[in-house]
Amino acid sequence: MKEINVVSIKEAVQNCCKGHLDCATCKGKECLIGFAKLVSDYAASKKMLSIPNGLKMVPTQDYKTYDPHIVAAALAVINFECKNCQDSHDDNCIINIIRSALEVTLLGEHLEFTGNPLTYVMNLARINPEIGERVMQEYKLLKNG
Amino acid sequence: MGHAIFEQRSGILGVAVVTACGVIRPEQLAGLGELPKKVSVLGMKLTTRQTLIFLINEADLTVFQQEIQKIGLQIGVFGNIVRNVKGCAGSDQWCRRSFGDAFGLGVRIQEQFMNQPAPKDFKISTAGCPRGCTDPYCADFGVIAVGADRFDIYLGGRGGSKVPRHGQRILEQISGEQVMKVLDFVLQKYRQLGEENERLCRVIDRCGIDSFIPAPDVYIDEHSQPEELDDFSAFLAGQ
Repeated sequence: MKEINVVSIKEAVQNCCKGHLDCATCKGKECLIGFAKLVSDYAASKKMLSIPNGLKMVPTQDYKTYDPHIVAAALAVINFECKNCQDSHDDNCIINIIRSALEVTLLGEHLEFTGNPLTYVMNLARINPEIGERVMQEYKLLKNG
Repeated sequence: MGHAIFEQRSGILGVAVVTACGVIRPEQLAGLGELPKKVSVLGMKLTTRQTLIFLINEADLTVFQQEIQKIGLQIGVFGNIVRNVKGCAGSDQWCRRSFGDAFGLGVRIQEQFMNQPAPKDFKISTAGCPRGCTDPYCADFGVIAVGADRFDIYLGGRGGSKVPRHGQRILEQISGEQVMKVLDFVLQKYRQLGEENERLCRVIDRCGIDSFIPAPDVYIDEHSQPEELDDFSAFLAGQ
């Protein structure tokens, strides 16, 4: 089974950050992208692939708008790195936590994940065809190498 | 109750040896390798419950028992008792997915509770994460690590049956020390309420799960220290 590429995840999440030019003060863990960055930092430094209660800690009071194209690309990377655990899916897996943070920036709400990244992207396309199509395209590009 | 020593149809004995939740130290493995020089070991089998079955001649039983003791292992137990713990090796040392030291807790439970009497066989399983490789959802008493020294408890599962069942989660995020107290409480209740040969899930059907859920004062020490931040919260706080 392939290993999770945490470096790739970190880069994808970092690309979504609006940086100090847009945000006068970085809100860190209170910002959806800031939180996702911290999760990826934690995963990289502690070599942890799961965070107990991590999903419940995703901030919900961040109403900033992000570039949907960049976030969609990051969401594709996240789903590409997802290990397709099916019935053994763990909601508190670092991939799922970051996926949740990213989808909330795009949809404004959490989308249930049932263990299969392809099914997830298809569900995303049903809810928001434009974003779903973009994520699917990026996901296919990654899958096809 | 008694030792897990079974006469086979051929007259050969099958003797179960209990390990520490499936983990064997190198010197123990070497000791097991020396056994055939001292007794006639006709075959060995790894079981689903993490014991080792040895096929030996009855005449060799006493020597076999002595040799097993010498290398720090013990003969298994069988009957209406608490069985050996089927434990995940989940800990920082053994598994990247593990949330907490399920292995250490499993060994501790086995040392304290194995062979205690029960109305029917009572099987315990510990797991380091919700994937539950050791089938904690199908144990009479299942323990799943959800964080550092934080465990969820499942009660009334049953595997190895024509009618398997999943247990019900009765407590969340309690410490290893509290797990020990809850297990003691559950076993006491099971002995009080269970009829002879009545498996725990059946007693729960008859008496209700609430009878088996201890009040907080049973497992929470009023003098206990306030909880420390979990590792991730501490990481966030440090940013």
